[in-house]
Amino acid sequence: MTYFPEEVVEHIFDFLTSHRDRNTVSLVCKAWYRVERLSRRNVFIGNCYAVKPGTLVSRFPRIRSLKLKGKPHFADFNLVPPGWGANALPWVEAIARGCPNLEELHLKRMVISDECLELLARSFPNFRALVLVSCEGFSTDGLAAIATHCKWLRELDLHENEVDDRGEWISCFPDSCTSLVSLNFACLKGEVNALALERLVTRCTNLQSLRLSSAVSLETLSRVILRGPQLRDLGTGSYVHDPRSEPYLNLASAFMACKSLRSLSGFWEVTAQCLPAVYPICSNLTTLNLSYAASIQGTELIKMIRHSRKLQSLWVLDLIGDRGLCVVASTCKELQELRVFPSDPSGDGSAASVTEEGLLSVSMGCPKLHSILYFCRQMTNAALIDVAKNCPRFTRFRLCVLDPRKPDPLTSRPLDEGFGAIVRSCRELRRLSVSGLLTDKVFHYIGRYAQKLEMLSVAFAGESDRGMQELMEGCRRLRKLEIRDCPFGDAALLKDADKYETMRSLWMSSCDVTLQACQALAAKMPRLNVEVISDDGDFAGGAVCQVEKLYVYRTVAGPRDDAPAYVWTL
Amino acid sequence: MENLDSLKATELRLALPGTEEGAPPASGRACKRLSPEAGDGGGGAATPPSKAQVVGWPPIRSYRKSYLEEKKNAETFVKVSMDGAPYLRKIDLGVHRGYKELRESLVGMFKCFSLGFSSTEGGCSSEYAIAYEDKDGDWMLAGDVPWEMFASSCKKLRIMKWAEARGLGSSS
Repeated sequence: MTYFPEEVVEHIFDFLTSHRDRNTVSLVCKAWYRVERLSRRNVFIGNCYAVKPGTLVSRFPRIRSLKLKGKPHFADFNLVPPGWGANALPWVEAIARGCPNLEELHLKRMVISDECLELLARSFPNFRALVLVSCEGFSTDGLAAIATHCKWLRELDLHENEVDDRGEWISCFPDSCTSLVSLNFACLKGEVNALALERLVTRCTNLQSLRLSSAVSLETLSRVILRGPQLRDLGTGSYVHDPRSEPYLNLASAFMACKSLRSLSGFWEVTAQCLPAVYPICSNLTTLNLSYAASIQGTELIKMIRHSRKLQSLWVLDLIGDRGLCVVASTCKELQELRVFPSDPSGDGSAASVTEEGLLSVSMGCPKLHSILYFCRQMTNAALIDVAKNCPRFTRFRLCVLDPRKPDPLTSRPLDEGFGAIVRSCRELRRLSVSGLLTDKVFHYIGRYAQKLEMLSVAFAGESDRGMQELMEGCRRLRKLEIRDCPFGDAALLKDADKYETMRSLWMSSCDVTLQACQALAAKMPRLNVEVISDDGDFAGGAVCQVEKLYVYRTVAGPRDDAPAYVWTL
Repeated sequence: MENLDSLKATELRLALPGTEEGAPPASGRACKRLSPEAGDGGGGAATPPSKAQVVGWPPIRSYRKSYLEEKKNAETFVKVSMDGAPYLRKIDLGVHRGYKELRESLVGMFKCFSLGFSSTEGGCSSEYAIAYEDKDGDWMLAGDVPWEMFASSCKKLRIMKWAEARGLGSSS
C-alpha cells in the first residue's frame, strides 16, 4: 500500500463504512493515520467527556457529520440531577471555528440552548440535518432559528425532547425552503400554524417522513396528507373527530392515496371510530408505533394488528394484553422488534398489563424476532426457558418486571434460571436488561455465557460482590454497565480496575461502594474519570461513607471543568 | 450525611413492627432513593419498595412517563345518571366537541329507557335538562360556559326533568 499515492489510499478507505474499521486503519502507520484523518467524514463520540472538542477538530478537520452522546443512560429515568453537564455549546463553538463544512449533527441526552442552536444555524452554510434525541435546554425560538437560517435543511428530527414552547415556528421556514426530506416535531406541545404546515409540505416534494405533534388536528392531517402522498413515514397529530364529518371522510380517501406509507406513529388522542380510515394503510406497514396511544383500547389495537401482516417493528402499550400479543404472534410473521410499554407506570397493578404468556406466544409465533423490550407484571422461569428455546437469535433482550425483586409467581423462586437460559441460548446477545428477583447466580450465568454482551442494565438484583465480579471476569466485550440498588461494594468495584479502560462507562447508584474505594480506583487509573454524585451536594460523610451515585468513564480529556457542585471528580 | 442509627429509629417501614429488616441493598439509605413525597422507608427484601415511590422506576424515559401521567390525570370519563333509569352510564367528554354532540350521545345512551328524552335542534329540550356537578361540588346547568371550560370542570352528569332543573343555577 505504500506504493500508492495518497489519493488512492483515501479512495480505498472510502469503502470502509464502519467507525471501528476506520479507527483500526488509522493505527497502522503514520501515513495511513494522516490519510484517514483528513478524509474522515463521520465521527461518533459515545461519551462527550471522553475527548475534548478541540481534539476532535484538530484531528478531523473535514468532518461533515458528528454524533454525540452526553449524559449517562440512567439520566433518562431522572437518576441524574439537573445541571449535570453534557453541554453542546463547546462542541458547536469548536466545530464552527474548525470545521465549517459540517452538515449533520446528531445529539443524544445533551443540553443545547437556543443560543447554541442559533450559532449552529448561522455557522454552517451547508448544514443539512439536525437530530436531537432526549435533549433539553432549548425552546421553539431555537427551532425558529434553524428553520430560518438553514437553507438546505433536509432533516429536522426531534425525538422525545423537553422543549419550551415560546410560540409558532413552522412559519419560519422561508418559501425558498423546499429541501426537507424528514420533519419530526412530535414531542412539541405548542401551537402549530396549520396553513404554514400545509404550504411547507406542498413545496417540499421530497418529503418522506413527517411526524406531527398533538396540536395538529385531524382536519389539518387530512389536508397535509393530500399534499404529501409520497410520504413513507407518518406520525399523526391528535386523531379526534366525528367519524361522520367531512374532514374524516377526506382523511380516509387521502390515506387511500398513500401507497408508499410504511411507517405509522402518533395517535396522541384518538376517537376509536376514526381508526378504520387507517386500516387500508396497515397492510403495507413495516413499522407501527402505538406506544403513545393511551386511548386505544385492547380490542381496537387487535383490529389494527389484524390488518398489519407485514409488520417488522411494533411498539405498543400493555393495553394490548396477552390476548393482543397472541394476535400479533399469529398475524405478524415478519416481526423483528417488539416493544411493550407500561400504560400505567406508577399504578397499583390493577390496570391492564401483560404477563409471561404474551412474551411466550410472540416467541412462538414470530421466527424473526430478535429485539425485545417488555414491561410486564410478572415473569416465570418456565416461560423464559421456552422463549430462549424458541428465539435463539435475540440480539437485544430487555425485560422489566414492574415490581422490583418479584419472584417467579409459580415457584416463588428467583428468575436466575430463566435469564440463564436466555444467555445460554442467545449467542448473539449484545444488550440485556434483567429484573425480578435475582441472586448472584444470574451473574454467574451472564459472565459465563454472554460472550458478545456489550451493554447490561441491572436493578434490584444480586446478593454479594461475587455477582458483579463474575460479570466483570466473564463478559469480555462489555462496554456499558449500569447498576442500581444492588449489594455490590468495594471488592466488586476494585476487582478488575483495568477493565474499565476497555469500557465506555460504568454507572453504580444506591449500591454499597464507599468513597474510599472510589478514591483508590481514581488513584490507580489516571485515564478514568471517577465521578461521585451526591444529590444534596454533601460529601462530608468521610471515606467510609457510601457513595450515592458513581459514574466512571474512560477519557483522554482529563477531569472535566464544567462539573456542578454535586459532582466530585476524584 | 445523617447518622444512620437515629434515622432507623424513626424510620417508617412496610415490614411488621418488631421484625428485623433482611439485608436489602442500602436499607439505611432507602430514604435517599425514594422521592421526597414518600413517607415509607424501603423495607426488607420481602417487601419491595412501592413502585410508585421509587425514583427512576420503572425505567421509562421521563418524557414518556410524564405524558402517560398527564393522560391518566386527565380523566375524561364521567358518570351520567338519569332520573328514572335503573342504572348509570359513563361518557367520555374528551371525544365530544361541544354541547350538541354531547346531547346527541346522551340521547343515544338513554333512549332505550323510553323516558321521553328526545333530541331537538338547538339543544333546548322539551322535558329534560342536563345538569353537571363541577369541581366545587355544585350542581350547574350545562350550556352556560364555553365547552372547554365545562369539560375540564365537569365531574358528573345528571339528566333531570325541567321542573327540578328550575332550582339550579343559583349561587352556591
